[in-house]
Amino acid sequence: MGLGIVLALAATLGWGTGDVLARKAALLAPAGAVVVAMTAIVTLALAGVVVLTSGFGSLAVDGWWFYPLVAVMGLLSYLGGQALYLLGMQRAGVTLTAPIIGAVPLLTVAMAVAFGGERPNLPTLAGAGVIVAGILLVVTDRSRVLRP
Amino acid sequence: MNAPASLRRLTVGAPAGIALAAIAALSFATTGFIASQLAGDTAPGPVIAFYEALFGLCFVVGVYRRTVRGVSRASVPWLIATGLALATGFGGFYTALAHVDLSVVAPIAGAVPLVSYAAVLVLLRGAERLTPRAVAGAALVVGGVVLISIVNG
Repeated sequence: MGLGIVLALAATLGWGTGDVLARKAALLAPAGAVVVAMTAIVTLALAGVVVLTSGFGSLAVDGWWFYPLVAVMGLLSYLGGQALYLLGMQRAGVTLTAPIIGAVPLLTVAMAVAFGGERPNLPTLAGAGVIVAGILLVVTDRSRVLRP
Repeated sequence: MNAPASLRRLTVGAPAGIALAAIAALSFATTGFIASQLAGDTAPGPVIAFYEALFGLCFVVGVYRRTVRGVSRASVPWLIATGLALATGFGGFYTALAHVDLSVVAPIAGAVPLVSYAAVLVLLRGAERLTPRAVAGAALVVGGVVLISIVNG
C-alpha cells in the first residue's frame, strides 16, 4: 500500500476518533470552550511536529499568496463548515443534512476534476461512489441512535 | 392551533437548514481543493495544516472567547486527545495530498463518519448501537477503500 493511501487512512482515523473525543469533552465543558481548546492543541501539536522534523525555518513559506489561502482554509474548515453544518442540522435535522455532508467526497472529486485537472480512473470513481453509498446507509440509519 | 414543533421545523426551517448544510459541504470540499493546490510544491502538509489551524484558532477565539473559561479540569485529557487526533487528521490529509491526487484521498477521508460511528460504540457506550444496516454500510465503505487502495496503491 502506498504512503499516500496510508496517510489518508491515518487522517480518516484521526478525524473520526477526534470527532467522538470532542463529543466526550463537550459532556464536561461548554461547546465553545471545547472548540477553542481543541483548536489550540491542534495548532500546538502541528507546530511541534513541524519544528521537530524540519526546524523553525520550514515555517517560512515562499509566496505571499500562501497566507491568505491558508487563512481562507482556516475560516472554512474550523468555523464555516462546522458551524454552518450545526446550524443547518438544528433547522432541518440530521436526516436531511447528514446525506448532504456524506456526499462531500463526491463534491471534492468533482472540484478536483473541474478545477484541478485531475482525471481519476474508473475504479477510483467507482470506489468513491461505493464509499458514499455506504456512508449514506450509516448516517441515515436513525435506529442506531439510542441517545443523541 | 399550532403545528407540532417537528412539523414547524420541517416546513419553516428545513429549506434554510438544507441550504446551510450545502454551504458547509461546499466549504469542506473547497478546503480540500485549496490544500491540494498547495501541498507538496508550495509547502509540506504539516506546515499547511499548522497555518490553517493557527488562522482557525484566531477565528474561533473571536467567536467563542466568552466561553473559554468554562474548560473543566476533567475535560483536559479528552481535549488533549481530541487535539492530537485532529492534528493527525489534518497533517495526514495534507501530507497525503503530496503523494496522491485529491480524487483518491477525498473518498478515503469520506469514511470519517464510519470511524466516528465505531469510536462512538467504544467511547460513548449506550449512545448508539450496531444495526444490520450500519454493518452493510460499513462493508460498502471498506470495500470502496480497498478498491481505491488497490488501484492507486
